[in-house]
Amino acid sequence: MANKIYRIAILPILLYALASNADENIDIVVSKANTIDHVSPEEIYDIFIFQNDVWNNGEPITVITLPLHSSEHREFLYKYTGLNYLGYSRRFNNRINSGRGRAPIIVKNYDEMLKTVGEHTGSVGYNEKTVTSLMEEYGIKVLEVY
Amino acid sequence: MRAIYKIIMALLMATNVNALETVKSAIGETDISGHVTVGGYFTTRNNFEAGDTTDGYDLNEIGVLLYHTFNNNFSATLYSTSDFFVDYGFLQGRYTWLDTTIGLRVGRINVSSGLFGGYGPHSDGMNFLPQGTSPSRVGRAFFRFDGVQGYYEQMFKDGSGLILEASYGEHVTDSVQGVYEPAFFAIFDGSTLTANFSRPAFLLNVNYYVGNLEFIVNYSDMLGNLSGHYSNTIPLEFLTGDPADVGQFVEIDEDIQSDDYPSKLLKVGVAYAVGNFEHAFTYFRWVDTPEPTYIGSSSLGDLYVSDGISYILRYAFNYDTIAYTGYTEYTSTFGNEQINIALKSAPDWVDRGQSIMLGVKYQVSDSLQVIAESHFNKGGIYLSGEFQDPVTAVEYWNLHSITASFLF
Repeated sequence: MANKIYRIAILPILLYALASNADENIDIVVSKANTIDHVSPEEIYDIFIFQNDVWNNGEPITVITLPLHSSEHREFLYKYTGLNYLGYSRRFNNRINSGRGRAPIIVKNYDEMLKTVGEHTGSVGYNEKTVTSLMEEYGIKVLEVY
Repeated sequence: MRAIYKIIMALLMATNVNALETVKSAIGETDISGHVTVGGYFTTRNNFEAGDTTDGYDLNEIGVLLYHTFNNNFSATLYSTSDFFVDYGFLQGRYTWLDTTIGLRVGRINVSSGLFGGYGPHSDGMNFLPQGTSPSRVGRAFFRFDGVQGYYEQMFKDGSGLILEASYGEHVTDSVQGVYEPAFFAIFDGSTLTANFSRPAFLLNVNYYVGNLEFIVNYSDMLGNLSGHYSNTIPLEFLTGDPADVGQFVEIDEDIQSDDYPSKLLKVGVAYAVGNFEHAFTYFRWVDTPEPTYIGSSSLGDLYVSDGISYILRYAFNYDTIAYTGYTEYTSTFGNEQINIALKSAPDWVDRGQSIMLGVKYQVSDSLQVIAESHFNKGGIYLSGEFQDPVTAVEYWNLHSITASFLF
């Protein structure tokens, strides 16, 4: 029963995240060398709360984010995980500062984000604007989310 | 040790390090992060937990976290500070299949307590953890142990997750004498108090999260060897049980030892973040059940129970500023039942403590955060008997602190 209640509670958050993603066109970007072409919202969630650090193809995941307290990163988190900053910081503390998981690479801006993603085969990042025109320049590609 | 860390940090800061650094080698990749914290505190009572009196009342610390990845299944972690070369450090091996992970850790392992994890001011968001459920009086005893840990992690399709950690090892303490309640120091010679382990502890941690809701349970079952020199003047009828001896007193000066001293710790917590707020509530219980130690015809304690609760409310004003407030309290049954029968007495409030805290964390830049915090306290149980005389110490006291942390 408790499990059922939690699923009912979580589903609207995930659907909201999907809808928001479609409206705001937040691209999930990976290196062009990565063989992964699509990812589910649940997988994005698991990656960015550091519970999953290996792609399905066996490649280690390197998470690239903007500064954790920045408005851009917080909005991304809320759209894709439903977590607010305070809840996320607890999760981060418990996972990363405890030494149980690998910390993300934190970059200053989106330009640095795309550059860093392109340089690491297993990396994943995000961008608030469509980056289709920048894919060749940075050696990245956009993952389809479904 | 501190000088070496200062040189290392100066070099890192000179290279404008402001993010995680990764060093690649033939045996994998090493991620380097950490903090340089400067700050201090002052209190309206003296000698509050002055671990190193020569340095005064500072909260300065340099910490470096190394996370080395050998491959997808093996990693190593080391967190080193200017105070402890190995604050925690362990080898980690794991196997993941779909949404399930099982693994093993060996070394000095930190307790993943979810709420108020105690990994340092740069990561907790507070200068002093709530003393009712994370008493620094006992140092690091609840947060780290030397031993082995098996763990199981399960991610569910609804986005929730479960983490189980079963451990076997010896707790790591800052100060042996810190594990004793302050009232002990009224009837024992504090410098003679010792605590060892008869056997390693069994520990269990459970962490369940779903959305912005998180639950934690920490449990530890220990068996210790305690000893100390009892030095007190007590009524003679306490020894003889003879009413005719009322009004007469005798000095007791003897070594007391308690082997196989059972001690159990339990911490339960829940946190829920909603909107710009986060509520966190934690309950802590510590139960000792030693064999009674007899002095004359009377026993000296056979059950000691301590309880603590904490409630913390955090509010994120904006993306840079988080304010928090909270209430915490802690009570112990030991002390005055034993002490009040003797001439050397400690006030009732030595066995308990209540505290209200106020604080603000401000993110000055991506790499620099400042935390200012005040605690308004009643009672003496938060303070180790090493640093206060429980018989004469004041009841009401305040503590104010400020730190600045450069994060890299």
